[in-house]
Amino acid sequence: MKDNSEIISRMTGLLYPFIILVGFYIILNGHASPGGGFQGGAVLASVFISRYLVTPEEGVRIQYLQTLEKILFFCIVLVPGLFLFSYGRRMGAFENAVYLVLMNVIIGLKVASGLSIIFYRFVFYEGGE
Amino acid sequence: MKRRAAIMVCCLAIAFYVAFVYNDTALVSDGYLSQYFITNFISDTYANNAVAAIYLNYRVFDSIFETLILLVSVAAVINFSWRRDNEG
Repeated sequence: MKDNSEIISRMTGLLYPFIILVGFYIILNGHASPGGGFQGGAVLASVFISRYLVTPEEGVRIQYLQTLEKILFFCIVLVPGLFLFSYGRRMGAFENAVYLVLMNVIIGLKVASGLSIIFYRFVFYEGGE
Repeated sequence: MKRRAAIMVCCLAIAFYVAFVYNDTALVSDGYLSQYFITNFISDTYANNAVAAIYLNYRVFDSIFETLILLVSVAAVINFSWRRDNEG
């Protein structure tokens, strides 16, 4: 009797593209419909978490996620600073839309990587051998 | 033992003083700020979502510090683990 259920692992594996699609839809349309960076980032993190359901014996290298999260935090501090200090031109609708979508994407990716780092850290490092 | 009792009495006194100072705050705000947000968010921020306008434009510092808290919590989880082979 295997530990992980075959049905759950295969069906979750089939659901990967749909969860990623819904996550990116929530992130990218956060400026016009309910959603946004934080919500879509949590949905994207569930992809990484469900990967553990599909293949529980495979390890994952967290270093890339850690580096990505640090770079994204630097961008999150940088982009509003550049946006607020541009008093030369008056911000129109297009610049504001670009700023909103960009900030939502950066925040969503950062939240997803942070949550998945915490999950993997607990599962692969604290849960025993 | 007496030192601990004295410190506890001091903390309780400070707590009661703060509660006394803020005793007459209203439980419900007068809605001035929320009305301003609701009526002005489209013209100020060109966003169709009021929540996105608030957390990306009116209160963007809260979002910045929220992501900072997430980064610090990741660092804390890694730091407080018992396994010492952190880069394995």
